[in-house]
Amino acid sequence: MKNILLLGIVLLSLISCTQHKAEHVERAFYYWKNNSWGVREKEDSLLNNLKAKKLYIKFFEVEPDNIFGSIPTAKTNFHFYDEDSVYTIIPVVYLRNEVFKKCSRGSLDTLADNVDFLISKYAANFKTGNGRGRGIDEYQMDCDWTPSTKDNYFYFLEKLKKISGKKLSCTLRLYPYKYTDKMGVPPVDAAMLMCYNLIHPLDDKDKNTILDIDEFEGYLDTYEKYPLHLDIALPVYSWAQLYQNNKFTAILYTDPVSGENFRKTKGLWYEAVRDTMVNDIWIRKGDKVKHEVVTKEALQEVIKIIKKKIPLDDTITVSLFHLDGDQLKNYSHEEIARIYTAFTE
Amino acid sequence: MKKSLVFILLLLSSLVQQAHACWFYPTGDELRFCFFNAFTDRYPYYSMFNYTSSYFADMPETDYTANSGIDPNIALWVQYCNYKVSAESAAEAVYLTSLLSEHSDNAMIKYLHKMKDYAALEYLTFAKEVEAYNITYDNPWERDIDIVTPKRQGKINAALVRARQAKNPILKSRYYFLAVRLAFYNRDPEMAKKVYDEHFAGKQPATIIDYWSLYFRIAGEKDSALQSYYAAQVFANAPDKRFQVTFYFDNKLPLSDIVKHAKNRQEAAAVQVMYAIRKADYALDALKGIYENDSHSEALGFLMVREMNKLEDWIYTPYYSYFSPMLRDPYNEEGASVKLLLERVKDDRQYAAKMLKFVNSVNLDKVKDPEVFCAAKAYLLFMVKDFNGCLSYIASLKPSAKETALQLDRIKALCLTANQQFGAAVIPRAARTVLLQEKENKKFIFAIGRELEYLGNTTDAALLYAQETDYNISWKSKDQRTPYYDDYYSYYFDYLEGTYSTHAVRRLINAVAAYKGGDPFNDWLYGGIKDINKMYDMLGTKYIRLNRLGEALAAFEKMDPDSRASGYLDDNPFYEMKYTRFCRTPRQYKTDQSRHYQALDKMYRERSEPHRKG
Repeated sequence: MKNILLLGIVLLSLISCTQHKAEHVERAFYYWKNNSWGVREKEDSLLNNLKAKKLYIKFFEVEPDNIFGSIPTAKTNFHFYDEDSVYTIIPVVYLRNEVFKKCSRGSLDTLADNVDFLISKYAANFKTGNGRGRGIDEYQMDCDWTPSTKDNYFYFLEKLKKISGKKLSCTLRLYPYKYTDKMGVPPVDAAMLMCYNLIHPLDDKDKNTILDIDEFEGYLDTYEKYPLHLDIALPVYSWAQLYQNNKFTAILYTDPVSGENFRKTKGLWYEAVRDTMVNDIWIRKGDKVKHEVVTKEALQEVIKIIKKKIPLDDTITVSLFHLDGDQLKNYSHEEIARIYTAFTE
Repeated sequence: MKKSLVFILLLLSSLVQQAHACWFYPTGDELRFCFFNAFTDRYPYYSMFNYTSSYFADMPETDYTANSGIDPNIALWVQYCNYKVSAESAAEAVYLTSLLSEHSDNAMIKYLHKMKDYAALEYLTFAKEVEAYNITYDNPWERDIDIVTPKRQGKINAALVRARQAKNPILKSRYYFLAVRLAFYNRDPEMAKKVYDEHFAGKQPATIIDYWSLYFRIAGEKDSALQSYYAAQVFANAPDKRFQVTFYFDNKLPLSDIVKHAKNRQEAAAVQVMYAIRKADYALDALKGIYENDSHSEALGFLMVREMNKLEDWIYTPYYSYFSPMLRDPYNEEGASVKLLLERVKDDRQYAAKMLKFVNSVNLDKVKDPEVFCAAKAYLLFMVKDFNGCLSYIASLKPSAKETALQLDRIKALCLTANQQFGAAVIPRAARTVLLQEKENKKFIFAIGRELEYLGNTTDAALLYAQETDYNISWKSKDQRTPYYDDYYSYYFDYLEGTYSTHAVRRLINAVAAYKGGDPFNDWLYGGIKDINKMYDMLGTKYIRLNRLGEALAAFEKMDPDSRASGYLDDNPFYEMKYTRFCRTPRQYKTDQSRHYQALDKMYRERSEPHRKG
């Protein structure tokens, strides 16, 4: 009896320590800029060094409109002409949740048709080997749907898949990952689990709203395997929230605190010690900045938790948000490569 | 050998044409001679149909909503408010944004609240709400198909429901109009047609709302004769839609097919107006038709002006400039001979005679703008060269309007000048005042000069040509040639150099040299030629070309010594080439022509001496 109990304890501890490492990781980046004509030299060099061959490129966003119902905005200017390259391009469309409020099935049919049309049109600006000439064969939809818009969004996804005939993936926040009963499971071929931005940037003054490990881990406490193939998206960016007269005024994408113009006060907070100009914004002495950075250590910790708690398939895509030479200079190439390789170790 | 010669000639001729095509060449309205333009401001709502070489006149469409006093929609609202509010307050309430609150300062809104006319206030609110839908949008999804918005369909349905529920017939009609207009912008012409036919067709009396509704219904009409008839009625009654509605009128159809839809003579006249507006050639028959059906038509006056503008282009553009009329593409007229040009002018003068016959038949008491017809008659008499008839007719008139007097003055000045004997022509005294008054009207000044030149007075002609120094007029010589690269002139000096005889230049120099000033007219007249040295320079050069070196030298000697190094023929031809300044003249080659030609003359004399010959 004692032996049986001992065996059970050993088995349980083995199960709890299981690592769901992937056998193979496809290295990818998100590309989210609207106004860029193409990949800059340092970004191109980074992709080559990392052997990252997959690019999730935001083609446009969709927002509601009083007259047209819904319209595309923030359209990409991105062009990529290199037929010898082996990049795989996955167009991404960000859809505001409001698009799926108060709309008819007919208008969703039209929307799916329009989205497919515009993606196909912009796809002509991308000439790559794309998996040796197969063209674009996957779309990804990005929407923070809610229980009230779930049905419309899922209907739209079904329709889009049918119209386009493409593989369809969508982004998946941690909330719908955990609460599938309430949020449903989107009718797509795969989902990209977005392991960042768990907290609204202005909601918590103390936590890192890009990546808070405790918060993140809490969402993974689920005992059911998510019914879709999961890929993983991780953040490699930082920002600073500027507060003037204790009121939020701007997000700064450059690091304002590394010089001598700010002093650290508490936790993530800094205070301007002299007037200074950052990103054409006039910051006055006494203004406060919350500087949120994702460190390489935090990323490795997150990957450890993912491997522990999410049953990964043998082959997954790991995509980093986002390809921006200025932001990525905070990491060495080796540190970024480690993010990909950590999933297979 | 013959074949290759022909080939080379063909090649060269094609190169010449290409050279023109890639070089500046005057075209269109810049060539046109137009003196009958004093009445243009009388017809602001036809301004885009002024005679022009462009498809439509480059005039901003007159926005009559900017003037609430004449806006028929505002007039309807003022009437709706029992004339208790001003047109300005009605325009503010109708066209400006949210003023509908009870506490608004706007008189019309206050009045509607006071009268508890909430139906009218609701209508205005709804009309403003749907305003953003009354526009054709580019498809934001970048599709070639026009965007149809389901939201607009909802507004159409709402307008129809409100129309059915409205008790006031005026508001009912306005709601139906909103539905027709929304259907038009929703690319649903069938719906627009259906709503119009059910609620507006045949309604009398028709208001601007009816004609606006008709405009938005036209696109749904498949019978092009009927569509053209509708377009003509909108053109006649909704001035703000005139430009847009023109595209619905098919002027290739026989006029009778369109006129047969007219229910009365005014409607028939409206069709003829539209027909004449779209005609770039002779429109006399349409003018006659309009006069017969609706002699008081405002458009008749406008079309009369337009027909005169055509005629003066056809006759005077070639007559004064030897360019083709502007509506004939000059590139296609490369081979057109002067003979052909002038034959066409003869034909056009015959058309002017027909126009004159029509104008003579018009009862001036019946037309809206008798002064336009009077001025046109005077001009037509000039066009058919009945100069005495023209002058006596002008003398018989007592114009009340300033623009009529100006128009008649111009015609009189031209006529007095033309009505002189060859060799005895001068600038008529009566024309002097007009010339001073019109001194900025450079083409008019030029035309008077041209008349004088044709009558042998080359001196006064040159003095008048010299008034324009900004290259704004282009003209050719009768032989269509110049000594320069181009085949036309745009500067008096070049023209004198290319066409005037030494005798004519000497006469001009003598006149300029003799003039001592004092008379305001002559001060202006002689003021154009400021540098007599250049005239002597030209005269000397002309003598050289004739091998009359002694006279050339005498001419150069008359030049102020300081001006000699700046003469136009100073340039060394091997270094200073027009249009291709690719190298600089070495200093040692700079000469002055007096010394140069003294040496030349000496050498010539020596060689001409008999004992040296052979």
